[in-house]
Amino acid sequence: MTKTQRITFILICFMLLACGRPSVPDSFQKESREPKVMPDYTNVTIPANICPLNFRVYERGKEIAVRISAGNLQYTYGDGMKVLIDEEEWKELLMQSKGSKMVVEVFVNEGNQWMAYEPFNIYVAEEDIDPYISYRLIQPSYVAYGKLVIAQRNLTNFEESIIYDNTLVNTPQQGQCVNCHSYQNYHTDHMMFHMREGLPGTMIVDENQIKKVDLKTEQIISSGVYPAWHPTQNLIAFSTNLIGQTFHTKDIAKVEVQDTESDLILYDVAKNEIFTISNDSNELETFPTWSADGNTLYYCSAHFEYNNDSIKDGEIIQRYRDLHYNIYARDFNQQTHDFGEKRLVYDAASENKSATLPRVSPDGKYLTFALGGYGCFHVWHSDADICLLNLQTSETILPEELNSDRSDSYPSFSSNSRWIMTASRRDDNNYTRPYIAYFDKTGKCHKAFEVPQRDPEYYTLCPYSFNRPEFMIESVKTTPEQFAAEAKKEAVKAHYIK
Amino acid sequence: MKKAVYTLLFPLAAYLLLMTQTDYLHAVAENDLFVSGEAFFAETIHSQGGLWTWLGCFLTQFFYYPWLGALLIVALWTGTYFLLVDAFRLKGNLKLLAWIPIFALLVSVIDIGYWLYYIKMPGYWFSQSVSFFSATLLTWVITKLVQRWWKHDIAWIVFIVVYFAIGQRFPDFTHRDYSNHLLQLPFFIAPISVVLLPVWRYIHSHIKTDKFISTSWLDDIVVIVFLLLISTAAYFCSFRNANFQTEIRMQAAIESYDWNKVIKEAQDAKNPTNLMVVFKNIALMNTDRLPEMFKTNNCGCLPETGDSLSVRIAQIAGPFIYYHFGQINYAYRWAMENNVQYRPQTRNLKIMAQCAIMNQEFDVAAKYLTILRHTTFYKEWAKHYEPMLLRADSLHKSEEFRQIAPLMNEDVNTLDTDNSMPEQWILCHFADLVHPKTPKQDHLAICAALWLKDEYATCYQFYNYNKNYPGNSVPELYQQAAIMLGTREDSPINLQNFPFDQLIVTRYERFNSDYSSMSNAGISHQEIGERMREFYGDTYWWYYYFCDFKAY
Repeated sequence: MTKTQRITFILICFMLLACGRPSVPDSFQKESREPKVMPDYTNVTIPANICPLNFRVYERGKEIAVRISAGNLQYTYGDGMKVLIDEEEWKELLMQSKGSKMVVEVFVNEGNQWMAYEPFNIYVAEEDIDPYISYRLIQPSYVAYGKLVIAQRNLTNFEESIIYDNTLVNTPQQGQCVNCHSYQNYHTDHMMFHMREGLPGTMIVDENQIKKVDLKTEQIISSGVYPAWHPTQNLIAFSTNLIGQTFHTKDIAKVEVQDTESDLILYDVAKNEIFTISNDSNELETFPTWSADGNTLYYCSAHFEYNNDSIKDGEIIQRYRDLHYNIYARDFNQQTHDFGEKRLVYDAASENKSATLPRVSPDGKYLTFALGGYGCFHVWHSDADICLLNLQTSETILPEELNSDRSDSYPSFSSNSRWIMTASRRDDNNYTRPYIAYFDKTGKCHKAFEVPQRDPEYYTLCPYSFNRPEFMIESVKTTPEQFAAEAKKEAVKAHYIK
Repeated sequence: MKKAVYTLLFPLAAYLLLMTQTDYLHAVAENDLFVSGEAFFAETIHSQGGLWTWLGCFLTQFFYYPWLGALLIVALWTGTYFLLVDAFRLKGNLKLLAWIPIFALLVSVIDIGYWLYYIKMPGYWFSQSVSFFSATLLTWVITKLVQRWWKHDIAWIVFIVVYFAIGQRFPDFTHRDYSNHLLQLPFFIAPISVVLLPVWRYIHSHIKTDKFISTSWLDDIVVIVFLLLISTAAYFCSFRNANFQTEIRMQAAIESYDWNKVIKEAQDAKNPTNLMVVFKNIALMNTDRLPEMFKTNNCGCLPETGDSLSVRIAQIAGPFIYYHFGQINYAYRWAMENNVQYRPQTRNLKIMAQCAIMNQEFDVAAKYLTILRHTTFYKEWAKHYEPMLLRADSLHKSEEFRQIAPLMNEDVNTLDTDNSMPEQWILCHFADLVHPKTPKQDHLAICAALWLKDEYATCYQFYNYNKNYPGNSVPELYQQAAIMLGTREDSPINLQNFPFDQLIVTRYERFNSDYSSMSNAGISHQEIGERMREFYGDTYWWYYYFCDFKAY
């Protein structure tokens, strides 16, 4: 063997060793509990088209061996304390366990002793999940903002790409806030988001044509804020809100975001026209959302009468715990665009609660919303939970499997109604992460799982919150550069009709 | 040998100049952040000039030890010099011209002053030098390769192409509506001086052919004068405001709970800034000497920035002072805001971790400590705090808990906003406390009222103090304030029967009579203040009449 051959041989051996799998120990001591793993994927239910659930084991030890079994398939993993699963092998495991489960056995080497923890299961549902989600990546700051990105994530693998990046248009003098991305019926050929401060306007993609509009007119209190695309028509219902925020000196909620006034408008995208839906001065109407058939508009509203109109800001700050939002609905005539009388759908105020961010399942059977003690901005309220209202029986449930003892808000259904995603702060009470739970045909929620990342430590090191997670059945085709070019143009003024 | 000495002269001068600003350099490391691992790399590399930013952050962290960071940056500059000399084939005294871009880079590191807190470019201190070095290195490599078969001088063309091609980000000094373009000058001088190198060489070669007389001693003088000139120029371009340096030193001393050093720094300052006054009073408060606050200079001024930069305490030390006054939510808020609005900073991460621990939000504290564990120089800092997440006794025995917990008023939660004025807000918050709950709060409540010159709050807190501590001797400061306010016609309090120390009463009468006599003699209010300072500068009366409280 020549010197070169020897070196090559050694290198190949080294590489093989480096790529080798850990082997499950022959002897070990049993630990009668499940291991602590992050993200917590113990006994969760996942779709069969999800990417690998990589995780890290948080037990005392230096190395691990993890065996994942499904049917007659078995693979072992272990990279220090991390489990990094091969994507192809994961697909095989999913195929084997669809409609059933895979079993995960964790062995931890504590130095001179291997410990075997109680195995846990990962259940695999029959129904797939929408392949994409999108979210705004924002550091959980209060007033300041710097880099803001709307990103899309392919759930079937680990690919994340940028939809819009404000650093493409920011100048040293003027930053730009972007928010409230929204899609029509899970498709991206009709989508929108807002830009504020620098180059303000609402960016709308209408049949893949991009346009920037200015929705603020004299007759309405603000530009459009929280949006809801009509599922079939080229219409968007918006709330208009005068938003303020103040800071808790002691409460770990830290900030209270409040509307001093809010109304509802309807925007006709094709005609660039605005119509008022509701502007009762004693009601704070917000968070519109459509039923799947487009015949009903749901929204939240808090009844609030000011004692003194001249100090609205001060009064609403003083009375912040008195703000209780109910959920209402109004019929919508798709031919005339007329709205019927409002009717109470969920009376949260009578329970001294506040219901926000309603969404209707595409099968029309359930309404989900975030329920907290008061106010409208539940992402900062640790008592906020996701609630499900059966629209046929009017029964409500607060599924334990979906909720946590920290803030859970911004719920949404997948396009097949079988998956519910929530923006949850259960990890650390400060940073919002997307969690997804299986919602089976019988109306039962299963334990939620955190959207997987290639590196299990990703969420710990990531300084961003995942804001407004939304399901999509396809990716956004418009590039960030195309959006940025349009952002630099003057916004087209919308016309107020009535 | 002589050549080597001459070559090392400027690097040595640069190093010494940097070492005169070690406090600032350490603050640079504290005000920047480098986290090892893929996540930070991916996040940084994504932006324009991302590679240089990442490298800049990586190297800037070494200013944690100022001597080490300075050594690295000077080595980088010296390397750049040698590459320039070789790539541009500079001979004799023309080599000196290669120090001009290095001079510009040196100035860019030491001239920014308070912009330290406002620059939005992470790794600023090294990123420009690294990208410049890389452009020079690439120029050198390409020039050497091309010159094997084409002897023409193309270094300057290559440099221009490479300099723009490597995609570095140009630093910007804009805060709100104000931009300081002068601070950008070094970044124009550096590349332009390189591009002009062949021009000087051309002129020099023509002078030589015209039989320009050059002797060895003349060359030596030229070298020495030139190097002295640029070293002196660099010194005068540096930001040398004494208060700026003192603020940094005081902050570092507070971090290490060295209260005596904080007080000593304040005593040595002739004309302290408001922030220095706040720092001094934090130290007095934590050594149970807060009633001495007016014995040391309590008259703060606005910081001198050298330009029109509008400096706010919220940005330069907001989280820090909120934390040390026990206002944990506001400290956390400003650390987060500053991290987002300007650039990620280690000091903000540290404060956020400390706030999370004090708020008993241990999961998010663990997040910040994990990030700090991924840094090179703050692992130990993180390790020090980790036990506090697991064991309450470890937290309760800690120095910060001992100092800060007594300031956290558990009963009070209000919704409020500070209008970006931390000092003003803190003082109002404590001056308005209806029920101070600890001795520390009692003292701070009355001292905050005095500091603000809030007469109603002073009277209320004076009564509160006497009610809470019946029979205790009342500190001289509080008596001074009560005597002054109690004897005024519009006084909200009646202190006729209060057992004041007669010496203080007499001194106040003398203060009044001295003031009246000087005033009657037509002496201006300001001049009276200066004259009375020697005798009454340690009293509340002097502060009350001659000091303007300016929050910023």
